[in-house]
This record gives sequence, C-alpha cells and structure tokens, in this order.
Amino acid sequence: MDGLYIGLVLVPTLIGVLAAVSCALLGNFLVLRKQSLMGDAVSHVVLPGIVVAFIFTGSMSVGPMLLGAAAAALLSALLIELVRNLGKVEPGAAMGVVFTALFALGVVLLEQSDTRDVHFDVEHALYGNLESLVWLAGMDASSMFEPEALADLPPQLGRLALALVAVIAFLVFFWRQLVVSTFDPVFAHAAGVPVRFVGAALISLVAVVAVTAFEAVGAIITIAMLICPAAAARLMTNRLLPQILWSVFFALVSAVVGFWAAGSGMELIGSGFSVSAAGMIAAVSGAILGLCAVAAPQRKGALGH
Amino acid sequence: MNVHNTDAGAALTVRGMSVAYGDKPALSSVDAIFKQGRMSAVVGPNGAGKSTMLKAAMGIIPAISGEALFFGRPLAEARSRVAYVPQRASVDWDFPATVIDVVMMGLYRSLGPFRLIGRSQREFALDCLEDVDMASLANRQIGQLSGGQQQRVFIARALAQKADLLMLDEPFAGVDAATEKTIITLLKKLVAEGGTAVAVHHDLSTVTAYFEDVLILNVRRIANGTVAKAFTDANLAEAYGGRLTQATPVLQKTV
Repeated sequence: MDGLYIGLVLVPTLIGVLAAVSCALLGNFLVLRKQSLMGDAVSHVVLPGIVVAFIFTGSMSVGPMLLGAAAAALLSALLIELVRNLGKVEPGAAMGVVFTALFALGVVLLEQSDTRDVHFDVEHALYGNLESLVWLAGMDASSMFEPEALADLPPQLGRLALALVAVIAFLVFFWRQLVVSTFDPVFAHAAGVPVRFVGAALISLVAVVAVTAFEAVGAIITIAMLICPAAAARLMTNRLLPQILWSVFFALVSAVVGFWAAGSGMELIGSGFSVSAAGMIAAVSGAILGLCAVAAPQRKGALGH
Repeated sequence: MNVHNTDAGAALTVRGMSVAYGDKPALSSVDAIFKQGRMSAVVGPNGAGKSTMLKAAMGIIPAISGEALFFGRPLAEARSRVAYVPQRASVDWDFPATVIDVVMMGLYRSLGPFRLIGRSQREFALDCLEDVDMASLANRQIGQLSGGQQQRVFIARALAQKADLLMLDEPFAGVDAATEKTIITLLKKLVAEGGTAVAVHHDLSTVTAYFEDVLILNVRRIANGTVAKAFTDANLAEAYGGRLTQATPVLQKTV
C-alpha cells in the first residue's frame, strides 16, 4: 500500500462511502414511509438554495449553504401545496413539477454566476467531483498521524463524516419513535409519539446529507443512494434491523466497486479513459437493486401478493 | 354481569365536538358520554363521522371546536390510560416486522424512547398474544397474516398498553367469525374487570348482543345511552334515513 494509493484512491473512496452510507441509512425510512420521491425532491431543491447562498456570501462554507438549502426546501414545500391546490393534481405530480423546475432554476443561476475560482459548476452539481478529492499530502501510512498532512485532507471528508455521525445519532436516539411512527402513524400519534417532529427531523437530515454530499459526490449519487440500497435491502430480509445492515452493505459495495470500476475497471476492459465515479457508483447500486429484484429471498413479500 | 356501580364516572366525555374536512362538516357539535366499565358502540351510516369522532378525541385530527375529557382530564394527563386501535387497513402490513415486534410497540409509553426491551417485557408481550390466541405466531412476519390475525395483533398491542379505556376503530371489519368471537369475548372480560371499551361498529345486527351502551351518530348526535333506551327503530331511522330495512328484524334478537 503506497502513498499514492492512500491519497488518490482510499480518500476519495472513503468520501464516496461516507455519502453512500448516510444516504442509505435514511433511505430505509424514506422507502418504508413511501416517501422515496420526497428524498428525490429534497436532493434536487437543495441546488438552487446552495447557489443562491453562494451568490450572496461568495463562499462555499457549510453554514450558509445549509441555510440556503433549508430556505429552498421550505419554498418547495409551499410551491408543492400551491401546485396541488391550484392545479388540482396529485401530490406526486406536484412534487415532480416543483423539484425539477427548482433544480433547473438552480442550474440556470449557476451558469450565470461567477463560480470559476471555487470549482463549482453544473457538472459538479450533477455528478460531483469525487476523483479530484485527493489527499496529496498523504504520501504514506505514517502521514495519517501527522497533523500537517491531515490538515490537507479534503474538507468534504470531515463534513461527510460529521453528517454520518449525525445520521447515526438520530437513528439511535429516535429509533423507537421512528419505527413506531413509520409503521403506524395513527397509533403513534395516539400513544404520544411526536410523529410530526420525527418526520420533519428525518427530512431535515436528508437535506443536511444532500447539502454535505453535494459538491463532493453530486446529486446523482445522493438520489440513487437514498433509494437503491434500501429498496434492495428490503428484498433481502423481513426484519428491520437486518434490512438496515443490508442497505449499509450495499452502499459500501456500490461506493467501493463503483469507484474502482470508474477508474481501473475501465482500463481493464481496454477503454482509454475513465468515467465519472459518481455515475458509476449510482449505476452499480442500480445493478444491485436489479439483481435483488430477480434473485433475493424476500422479493415476493415486498412486491405484494 | 355488570357488577360495577352504574353511575360510575365517564371514561370519555365529548363536548361540542365539531370537525370539518375542507368546507364539508364531518361532525357537528357532538356531545357524548362513554361510561366506565361499559361496552359502548358508535354506530351510524357511512360518512357519519364515527372514526372522525374517535380520532378527534385522540387529537389525531384537529377539531374546530369542542373538547374530549378522559376520566375527567384532558388527554395529555390521561394518555397512558387510553389505548387506540386504528383500522387494520390503515397500515402497510408489508412492513419488515414480526408479530411480537408490533405487540411490543404497545410498550412505548411504559418504556419511553430509550429503555431497552428486556426479557420480562418480551414475556408480557407474549402473554398479550396468548390472550388473542396468537402466541404460536409470535415470530411470524406480519405480511403473512390473515385479516383476522392482523386484527388480533392490533388488539394484543392495545393490551400491552395496559390501558383502562380501549378505543377501537371498526375492530370487526373484514375479520373471520372465530376472530370476532375471540375479540368480543376478550373485550367483555376486560369490561367485566372494570375496563372500558368504545368501538366504532357497523354491524347493527350485533349491537344488542355485544354492547351495553350506544352512540348513534350522523354528523350530529342522534342518540346516546343504554342500548335498551337509545337503540330504537325511530333513532335508527333518523340516522340512516330510509336505508335501514334489513336490520329491523334482528332488533328483536335477545342478548
């Protein structure tokens, strides 16, 4: 294991893994609550929020971006209600219209604004910049213990690690409320579970993860990772905790295999250039879901009778 | 069979309760009393607001006006004494859980958010399943249950709450005869021991056999009292309009 391997492969892979696992953990509850589209919507609408925050502050720091994303999420919730009521369409259609429109608005704003010196453009918004999140100071294993070298780690690594800690803490501390209100919200409400608070906290965490994952891995991975590993895991087991562990495993496999396949894998099959790691990770997660749909043990249970 | 004082306090008092969906009134200033130690039915035609009244009393849907008192207190002070059993069809039975997992959700109030489930809680949940003849299916995936078995699991979860008042939304809808018998026997036993049951019920032919008190509802209150006094042809005709023809003969059926 030489230095280049740690800095150029392990660090970006780890960033991909952190983003994938955070999304997969939350995704289990989105899928069980039939809110997959909501995760999709949130990860789309954070884009205009981030761009507007960037235009106002000129920086890519997490605080303003989170505020911008929160404002955009709030705006989108209002717009979805408005489209539903004025347009007399079902909620899914209203969501679909609002989040694609806001995402498109974000893309247009991004093209108009001067973001050249911060490496933030439409391409990054879509499929991130995983390959460039390298750790050049990490020349060998010993640099993992050198403060100077550690300071050179891509900042996204720390942010995504913090986001993952927040997700795990939420699941641990709100486990019982989350499970009861996901299975039977009416009963949960009657038993005094703070159903609305737990639901809002879940969606807020999806937004936090989407924001922190955005410039590192892009929107495509966030959307794929919120749904694919959890949906595939549901087909593997009929118990909740094993389902969550399966989803984490699938997220890990997608991130590691996807990152490898995008680089070295493409060389193996004789292609002269590598492809987007984020795109490949999302594709691998889709392939895993496809495989589970055909061959997983519990596929009948989850797809209805 | 009712050994309790007949003028015991009310388990649930509903006062002036009004609920609307959009601009359509679902409940209009309903007053009702459900006495402790009694089996009470809430009957009325479709859309009469039966489930709505239960949900509004439990604070699950907002009421425009009115209040509900449980054992003379607001819900927040009496929540642990009340167990609510939703309609079976209101949840997705494909949820990844086993029968005993669902029953143990009934321990939420006694355990709180953090305390872990220990051996004694598991034993207790099994006892609750035993009461509905479901102990042998404790580890079965809930997606594999029949409609009647699903309803029994919901009843077992309510038993696990050790509540003094059971609020049941259509507990006999779409269940087999054996399940209906198990549930009604169990409810009657709980009531004989001093508990209270309030059930939304749609089968008028069994009201006299199953229940002691009744609330007849059609958006507004038509009648509320003992089955003998309130469950009359005149009141039913008022609630159901001209649609009540086949239920009339069975009214003569004795308990």
